[in-house]
Amino acid sequence: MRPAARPIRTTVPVHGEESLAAAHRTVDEAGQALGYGLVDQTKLVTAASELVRNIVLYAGSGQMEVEELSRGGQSGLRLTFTDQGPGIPDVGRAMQDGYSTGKGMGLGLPGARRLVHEFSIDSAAGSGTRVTIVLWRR
Amino acid sequence: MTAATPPSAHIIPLDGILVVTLPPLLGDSDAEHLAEQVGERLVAEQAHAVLIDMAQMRMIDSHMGRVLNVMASMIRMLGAETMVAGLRPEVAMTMVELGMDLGGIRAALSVRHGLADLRARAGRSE
Amino acid sequence: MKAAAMPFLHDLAPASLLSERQRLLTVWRTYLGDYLPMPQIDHRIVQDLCEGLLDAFTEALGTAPPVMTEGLRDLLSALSVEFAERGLTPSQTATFVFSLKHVLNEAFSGGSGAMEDIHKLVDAMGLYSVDAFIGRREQIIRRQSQELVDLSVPVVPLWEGVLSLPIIGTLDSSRAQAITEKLLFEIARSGSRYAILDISGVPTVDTQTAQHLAKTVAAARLMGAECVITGIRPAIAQVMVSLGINLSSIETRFSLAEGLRYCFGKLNYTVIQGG
Ligand SMILES: Nc1ncnc2c1ncn2[C@@H]1O[C@H](COP(=O)(O)OP(=O)(O)OP(=O)(O)O)[C@@H](O)[C@H]1O
Ligand SMILES: [Mg+2]
Repeated sequence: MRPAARPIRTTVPVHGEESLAAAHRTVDEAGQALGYGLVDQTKLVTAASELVRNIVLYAGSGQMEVEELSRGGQSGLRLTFTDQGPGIPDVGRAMQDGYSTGKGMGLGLPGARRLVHEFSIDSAAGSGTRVTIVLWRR
Repeated sequence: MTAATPPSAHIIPLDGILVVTLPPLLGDSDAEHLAEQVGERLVAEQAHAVLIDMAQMRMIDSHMGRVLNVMASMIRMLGAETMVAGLRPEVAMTMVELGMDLGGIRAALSVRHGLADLRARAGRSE
Repeated sequence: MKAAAMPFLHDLAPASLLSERQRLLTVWRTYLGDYLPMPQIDHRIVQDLCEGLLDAFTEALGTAPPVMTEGLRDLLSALSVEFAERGLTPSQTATFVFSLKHVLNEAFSGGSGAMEDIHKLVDAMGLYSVDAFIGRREQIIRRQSQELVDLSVPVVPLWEGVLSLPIIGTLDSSRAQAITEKLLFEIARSGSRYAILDISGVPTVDTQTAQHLAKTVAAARLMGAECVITGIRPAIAQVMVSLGINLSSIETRFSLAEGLRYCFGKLNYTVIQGG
């Protein structure tokens, strides 16, 4: 078990492609501190990469928050991706495999959802987007 | 390692096969230039195959997947074959969960396996 | 009554508990020996827990109304972890904490209105310890079931370059996950190009199981290995067809032997019968 250190809590500003590497490093370090297995660690970093890239591509800038969670003797990380961009008019469609308004494969959102234990998205046209994911340590 | 410049891809020609070694994480600008670089070397070396060594890659997201697929299509157009080698188990599992596949790109367990495979096939078709 | 009792509580209670510390600890020990024997735990540990708890409790009584302090919480957590690990039950854990009431009754015989507040604090302590106990117990159970899952995934090398994975029992999702991981890491470690997944020991295959098999095969393919699924019984094949499960992109064979023959063919091995 992790020695009782201060719970992990950081925010990474996202303002362009350069932010991807920083976001990646932050999630990687937090995941290692929490003690995920290799597979879960890779899944979380990949999900974060998808969501940060969406901010860069569709909103231009925003932020990623990383928080440690503990619930009923279980610990995990919650990652919150927030932007004030154009928002998603039809969230239902955006969550479907293969739907992309750009030249992507349309896998980022639905794929990220499959990689984690909890996923929620809050977005509407004109009011920005917030995506929250949680991965518990097995 | 310093944060200044992330390591980029290495390309080594090996009798007719272009071995491309990718770093743990490929920065976006490197990824963008990868296909172009590989295409130029492919033509210059008159290679018949490109073997992409993925053993170091720690993560492949949908963006990286697209970069690989675009590169493979380009290689096919130039009359050569693409093979990926050494994809890690955790990366493979994550790609599948994400919903990504590498289309028709063939895969090998390691560069050694891949080279043996490509050579055997080249020998057969001669 | 209550208002008058307050000064008694935070002025006198800690003082009388302090002065009678040794006697109360003896009372407590005797009580526990009679009503809550815990042979699983070393008596010195019990002694330490009692002393620590009584001291932290005495300190908590210094405020009015008495509230749970950080020190009490830490001690109760430690106590619950100890009890959970030694295989005691949540009710034994709570009974232990509640036995403090007996000690307090000894200390304040004659009774007073302040006892109500003291009882409330002890009750809160009991509940807290049960929560902490259950949290710890869940952790232990989770770890043990993970160990069981790991044990039940045998990846057997059949031949150079050919692994086999006999899957026995129901494939729930955490087990399926563990099996996939184990197989893929073993493929990478051993450099095996073929893996035979034998499902003759799987009682039923539902959509989720089939989906999981398909994902495992897809991941292995990305790594450069091919999977063959064997041991699909006719009844299971029928169910799969009626569920609309399609494994047509996956190599399947009836028996493990047929699966091995397929791999040998791919590896250009010829099986010759000795004369
Ligand atoms: N933060 C965001 N702000 C505004 N629109 C977004 C945001 N994230 C996603 N979208 C919209 O949702 C669509 C689907 O996103 P998703 O990540 O699933 O696919 P993609 O980015 O188009 O392709 P891929 O991620 O596979 O490269 C996007 O095409 C875009 O229109
Ligand atoms: Mg995307």
